[in-house]
Parts: sequence; structure tokens; C-alpha cells
Amino acid sequence: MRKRMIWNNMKGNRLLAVTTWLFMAVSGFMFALTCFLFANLLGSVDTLMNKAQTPDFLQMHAGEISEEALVQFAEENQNVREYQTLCFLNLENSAITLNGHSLKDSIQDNGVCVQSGRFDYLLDQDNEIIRVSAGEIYVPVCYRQEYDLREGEIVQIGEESFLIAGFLRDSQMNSMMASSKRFLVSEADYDRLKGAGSEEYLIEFLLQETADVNGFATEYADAGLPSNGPVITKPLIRLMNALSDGLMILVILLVSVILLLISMLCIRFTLLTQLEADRREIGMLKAIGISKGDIRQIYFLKFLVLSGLGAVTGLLLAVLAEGTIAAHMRELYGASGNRMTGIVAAFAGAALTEGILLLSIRRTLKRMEKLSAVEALAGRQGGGRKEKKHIPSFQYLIVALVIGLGIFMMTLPQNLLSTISALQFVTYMGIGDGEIRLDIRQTEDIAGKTGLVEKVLTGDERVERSVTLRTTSCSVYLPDGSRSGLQVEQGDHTVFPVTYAEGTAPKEKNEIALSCLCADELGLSLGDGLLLQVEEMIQEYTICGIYSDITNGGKTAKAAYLPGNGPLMWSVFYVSLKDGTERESWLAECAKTLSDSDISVKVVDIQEYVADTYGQTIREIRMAAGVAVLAAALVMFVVVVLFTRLLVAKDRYDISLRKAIGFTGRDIKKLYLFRYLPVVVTGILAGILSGNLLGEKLAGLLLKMLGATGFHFLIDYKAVCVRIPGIAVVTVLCAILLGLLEIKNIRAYECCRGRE
Amino acid sequence: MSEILIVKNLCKDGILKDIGFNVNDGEMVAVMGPSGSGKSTLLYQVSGMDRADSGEVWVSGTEICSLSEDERAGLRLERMGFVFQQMNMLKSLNLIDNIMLPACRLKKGKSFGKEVEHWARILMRKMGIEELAQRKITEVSGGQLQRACICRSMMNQPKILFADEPTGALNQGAAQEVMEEFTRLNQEGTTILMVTHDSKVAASCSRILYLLDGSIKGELSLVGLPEGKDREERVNRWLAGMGW
Repeated sequence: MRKRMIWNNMKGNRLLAVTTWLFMAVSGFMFALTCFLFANLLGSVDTLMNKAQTPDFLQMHAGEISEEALVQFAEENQNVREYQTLCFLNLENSAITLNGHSLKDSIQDNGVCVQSGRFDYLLDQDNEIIRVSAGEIYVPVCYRQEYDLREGEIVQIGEESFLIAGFLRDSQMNSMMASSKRFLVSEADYDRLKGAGSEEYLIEFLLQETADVNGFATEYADAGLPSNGPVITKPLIRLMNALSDGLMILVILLVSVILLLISMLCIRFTLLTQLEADRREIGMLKAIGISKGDIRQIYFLKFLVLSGLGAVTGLLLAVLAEGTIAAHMRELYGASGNRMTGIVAAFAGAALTEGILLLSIRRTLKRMEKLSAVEALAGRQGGGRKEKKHIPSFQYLIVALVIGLGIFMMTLPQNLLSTISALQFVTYMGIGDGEIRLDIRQTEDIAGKTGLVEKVLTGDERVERSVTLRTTSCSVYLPDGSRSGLQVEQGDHTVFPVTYAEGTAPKEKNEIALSCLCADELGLSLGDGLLLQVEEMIQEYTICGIYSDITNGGKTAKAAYLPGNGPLMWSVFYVSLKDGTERESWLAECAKTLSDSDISVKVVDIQEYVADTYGQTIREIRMAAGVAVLAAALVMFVVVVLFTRLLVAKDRYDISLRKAIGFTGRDIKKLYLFRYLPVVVTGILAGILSGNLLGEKLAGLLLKMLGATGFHFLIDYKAVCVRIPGIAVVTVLCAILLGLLEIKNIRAYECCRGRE
Repeated sequence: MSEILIVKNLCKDGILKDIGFNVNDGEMVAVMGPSGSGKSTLLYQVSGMDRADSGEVWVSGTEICSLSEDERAGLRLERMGFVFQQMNMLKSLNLIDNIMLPACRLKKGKSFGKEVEHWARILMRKMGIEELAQRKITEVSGGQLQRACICRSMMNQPKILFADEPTGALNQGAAQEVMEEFTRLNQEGTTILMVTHDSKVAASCSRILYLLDGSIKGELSLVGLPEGKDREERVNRWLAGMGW
């Protein structure tokens, strides 16, 4: 009988049943998709890193190395499981052409290497270790889509031509956020290419499972081993790998949470409407002795069935959508080790969503218990009178809330998108607020070349401002007496500042700013002191600022002054040009001038850097933002149509009466539109405000997980104040008009039958 | 004859004032009185749908005023049947499912469905509505629906059946048919307490209680009086004497 009851009830209230199912399905779908994508991303990255055997500790080094000292260190250090030194031949980007596309504008450090012997393997598209033959080359997989490459096409390196044999996955440098890219060639070809670039070393260690990577890093620094380059650890590699796709998934998660809130609100409202309509039936059931629990169960079972259907629909949609959305992820990292894990995670996500919805339904159904049999049978409202009286205003409140949440859902990804796309975003990632950046790295006489470049820049009239930042490897002594290695960037950090999560840029002689990662690792905070040693000189510093940084391994520091003159690891210049200067021609000219002076400098337009480094992330967030706009518009449309229809059904008598006394359908529609006006305006304003203020906090939390702290939105006002409200107004207006169509079916004589 | 319903000093919201009466097993008692006299309120209190402010109500040996809401619901389901003026039935169920509804809570087990349906059909046959079993509630007449309500009230073979204006929403013919069913049920041994405005309906009962301003102002026993016009006239005269 219960089956018939549920089925007949659904048939009798098709609109409510379909809407409820729709909300449950959409909420289930979004959460299932989020969990599926998360599980797959983590699974894919882990599978790739396991198969490639990513090193736990990696020291990049330019210059000579003593293999013997490294071997001895590795043998004596109990934390070391495996050790190897790989060579990486850094090439001029202008020397590389991929099937006719020159990499001269690439901001990546591109180079060639041979397959590793022990670990840190480069893998093919099946995640198998690549064996490359002479004359063949494997290209980083991220370039396949970017340059539309296919196997069998030609890669030109200087005068040498190579046949693309396939595309490689590099567990360390797969992400566009990693600044280097490795091409794989045979040993013979590598030897032949050696003269075309500068060789640097990747000193890699696999550590015991129990080993502390940070402790190991200190031991390595203490041993005085080669360290002319950044240190990268496995957690940072994992973070870089998960960053671009992870951000998109986090946006989907945010959208899911908002959708769940909307679903809860709407389902609660439809349920209350139904309970109101069924109060006499409920009273009768109570009167004949059916217990509160049993009556609640009758209603609850219907929602249980709908949530089951919703979960299945959501799960199926998630499995279908995952294929398209995760295509890039799969290309980059390969399939997740176990697809079942993803499906189980998706199932768990859908089940959790439906569980939350069912809990909220159960809570709403408890209100029914307050209704006494006598009140219902005697036609009295009792405690319900208040509720009934308030239902229309409650309904408008829900519509305003849904519009507000919809706008919030549209605004948040849009703001994230405009922020990440903006030039200033790099300042959250440890890069100065300049137009152009020049890097001198992995070359001899960095100090001398830095001076030369400085001279070129100060002598150029087109340069508005420029600053030179020199990075030196130092040792830091903590209050507890321990010592650790630290890369300190020295210079005037106020000219092109990064964004500081706390405090300000170092200005005084004894001030130092630390990256968040560094401050966390050293257990230091603003105002704390530390001792810095460069060569034999020691100086006491106070921490004046903390900033986020994902460059150079993420563990960096900035100071205005350093004691002593330690060997420079690298130098960075930030430049801004005077108005009217043609940036592209200046870039080309600068690169040529420096190249003619035999100074190997990487000159980067920061706008291009953003596009290159965050391009994929921006594309994915743009997709997520687009999906969010569509989903929000759809939800707003459905909710407003539903609520308008319910409103018209409730007001049927009044509408009929108005018609009887001479109002036209158009007059009545105008009345409703007028009533909706403040609701829509309130919803839009609330949505925009919350999307910008609360959204900033939420996005800040997300980006903090990804390394960017002290986050503020860089708002695209045209999108947020015009486009999004415009979409919302058109959607809601269409929905109201559709919902009001029922008015034409209400006859003037209906009111003569009295209120039902 | 044992007393199936005992009401002592019942008070409720100033509507019922110190009411006391008994109903014996097998009796059919009508409660009459002008609008606002407290008839329906009395019915709600004695059937446990509502809790009295003070006083006692004993239904087949159980004092119900001290029971919790759920306990009273259980007692209503097991020992009482209800017929209302508005034939409240669930729109989502057909006629026979509505009739079977009270039994679903009580009888569970493998043979439950068949047993209950069999019993529901027997009741429907007795009421002459068996052929309407699968109809929706919107597809039958008011009289048929009220007879279905009587079937539903009898599903758990209650000790006492409460009826609140059972013919109030019916035309004369349908009302007559429904009353015949009540009389038959009473003759078969079902105790009935009925609130009514209709003197003709009251005349078919064995006793009439007259309620005015929340107190019982009079009581008329019709036991031994023959059926027919004389009985109705006797009731009308008595009611006129009460100020009806």
C-alpha cells in the first residue's frame, strides 16, 4: 500500500515531485562530480608519482659537482634509500621548434635529458617507462594540446631534427606551474646536443618512508654539497601537480555547496506547501490513531524514493560528465590507478548530499507533529495559522534567497577568474608587481652579468622603474639553536612588491620577510627574530612580513640588506616601461642587446607569464565559471517558475475575484511583477555583496590551500555589476512570466464557488 | 451491562464544564445541542484526540487523560473507530486502500495484505460498496464515501465508534442509508457515540444527551420505544422542552 501511496502522491503532485527530484539530482550530481574529480586527480597524480618514482628531495644545481662527495653523503645518511644525479641540458627557447612552432616566446626553461636509470622516470601515455631510440624525441605532454602536435612530426633543436615518437609525462614538471620542461632523447643524441645549451644537474634522493624531508634538507645544506639552484620536495611537486585542476574542482565544490543550500531551501518550502495542503488528511490520520512517526514515514518514504532516484541520476550524470571534464587531467597525469575508487567516492558524495537533504526534510516533517488532529478536523489553524499567513512572504523570501545565492554562485567563480587572470595575481605567488621580468640563472659569473644588465636597464630611457633582486644561499639560526638553509632575495622590495599576507616588505637593515611555507616550516611568525649567516658574516633580523610564494621551491626570504657577499644563486630584475613604449619591441630589443653582450638572460613579459603558467587553470576556471552561470541561471529559472505557479495556485480565488470585478490578465500579471520587483532587487544586491565580500573570504581559504595567502579579489566590475545581474534579471523575468501563464486559465466565475 | 465509556468531571477551555456520563457496551448514544454547545469538543476529549484540562475519561477500562499522545493514538487505533462529517480520506489512495489504512499499522506479517483486504471486502460488501473498491475517492458519491468511512472505522473491530455529524454533508437519501448502516452495526454489537444536529438521526439511537453551554442539561432514554414516527415525535417534543 505504501508503494501505491508514494506513487499516487507523486502522480498527483507531479510538479513538486519533478522539482524535488531535479534538486536532488543536481545536488547529487555536483557533489558526486566533485568527489569523482578529486579522487581521480589524487589517484592520477599518485599513480603517476608512484610509477615514475618521484624523488623525495631534489636539488637543482648549476655548476660543477663532486660526485664522490654526493655518493659519500648518500651512503652515510641513513635516510637515503636511493640517490642519483641527472643531467639536464638547458636550451635556448629560440633554438627549439615544435613542428614549425618556435618556443622563443615560451617562459618555460626547456631542455633535453636522457631517461633516468634508477628512479624519476619519464613515462609514456600508458605510464610505462619510455625507451627512446636515436633520432627520436619525446615531448612533454602539456605541449601536445598547446601546439597541436602529433606523433611523427618533427622537433627541431638547433640544427638537429628529431621525430616525435610520443609524449611524456614528467611527474616533476608536468604542470605548467613548474618552470622547466624536459624533452627526452637518446644518450647519443644528448651527447651530440651538449654544445647547444648549458648543462645543469638534478641531484635527487629517494628517502626512507620514515624520513623527515625538511630535516634531510638541513642535513644536505650542512654537508656543504652543491646547492646552486632551488630545492624541491615531493609534497611541493604533488601540490604543483594538483594545483591547476585542483582549483577548478574547488570551484565546483563551492558551486555544489551553494546548490545544496538552494535545494534544501526549495525542498523545505515545497514540503511545507504540501503539508499545508494536506493538513486535513494529516488530521484524519492522527484522529484514527496513526502515530506521528507513521505519518512522518509516509511523507519521508516519498522523499527517500526521490532522493534515491536523485542520487542515481546524479551519479550517472557525474560519471558521464567526468569523462569530458577530466580529459585534461587524464592527459596530463594518466588514468587514476583505480577507477572504482573514483566511482565509490562519487557514490559517497551523492549519498552524503542526499543524506543531508533527507535530514533537512526529516527536520521539516517534525513541524507536522505540532498540528493536532482536532485543529485539522475542526478546520482550525491553531499554531499553523501563523504559518499559513506567512507562507506568501516566506515564499518571496525564498525567491530572494535563491536569487541571492544564484548571483553568489555566478559571482564567485567570475571573481576568481578575473583575479587569477589579472596581472597582479602573480604577486600572490611570490612574483613582483612589474611588467617585465628578467632572470639570470644557471650561468657563470652571475654577479658580473647582473651588474651589466643593471647598467643596461638604468641607461635605457624607456624604462620607467627597475629593480634588481639578488638571491644568495644563506644559513638561518633559529632561537632553539638549530640551523637551516634559506634562499634570501636581497634588494629593494618596495619598488615592485609582492602581496604580503602579514606585515610589509623589508625596508630596514635588520628586517626580513619570509614566505609562508618557510615561516611555517621554521615555526616563525611576524616580529620573531632570527640570525642569518652569509659566508662568515652573521646578522640578526626581525621578521617584518610574510608572503606567499610558489617559485623556487616556495621556501624563500626577502631582505633589503645581507651581511657579506655570498655567491649569487640567481638574479631577477623587474621592469616597468614608460607610457607609450611598445612593449614587444622593447622585449625583443632588450633580449637582442643582452644576447649580443653574451649575457644569457630570460626576458619575460609578465602578462605572458600569467597566460602561460596559469593558462590551463584560467581555462578551467573559465569553464567552471561558465558552468556555474548556467547552473545558477537554471536553478533560478526552475525555482522562480515553481514558486510563481504555487503562488498563483494559492491566489486562485483572489485572481478569479479580480477578474470578476474587471481586472484583465495583464493587470494581474503587472501586479505580480510589481510584487517581485523588490524581491529581485534585494536578491541581486545581496548576491553581489555576498559574492564579493563573503566570496573573497571563501576564495581566500581555497587559495590558501594552494599557497596564495592574504588574498583579495581583483573584480571585473563590468561582469559583476552588469553582465551577471543582467543574466539574472532576464532569467527571473522569463521565469516569472512563464509561471504567470496559469493566470489566463483562471476564470472569473471560479470565485463564486467560494474558497476551497 | 458493562460501561465502555466513563466520563467524570470533564473540563476543557471553559467550553466543557464538569461533564460526566457513561456509555454502556452496545449502546448507541446521540449527543445533541445547539451550535457552540461543545458537542464536537466533547467528542474530541472522550476519544483522546485532545487532552482535557481536568477530569477523567475511561475507555474500556483505560483512563486516557493520563496517557501520552502516542499512547492515545495507539488506543484510538485499536479500540476506537471514527466517522467524520467531512469524509476525510487520502487522495493518494483508492477506496479499498483508504479503508485498509488503519489495519496497516496494527497487523503486520506475511499474510497481512490478504487478510486485511479480505476483511475490508467483507465490510464493503455489507455496506454495498464492494464493486467500488478500486475507485478513486473522487469517483464515488458522498453517501458511498461515508459508507467507506464507516468501513474504515470498523477495520480494527473497535470497542466504540465515534461519529461526528456523520450525515451532515449528505442528502436525505444518503443520510438515511448511512443511518441504517449505523443501526445495523449497533445491532451487531458495536457501541456508538454520535454527535448530531438531526433529530431524526438521534431518534434511531437508544439514548440522547443534550448539551448546552458545555454542560449536560438533559438525557432521554429511547429504550423500549418502538421505531417510527412516534419515536421521532417523542424526541422532537423532548428537544423542544430543552429549548431546541
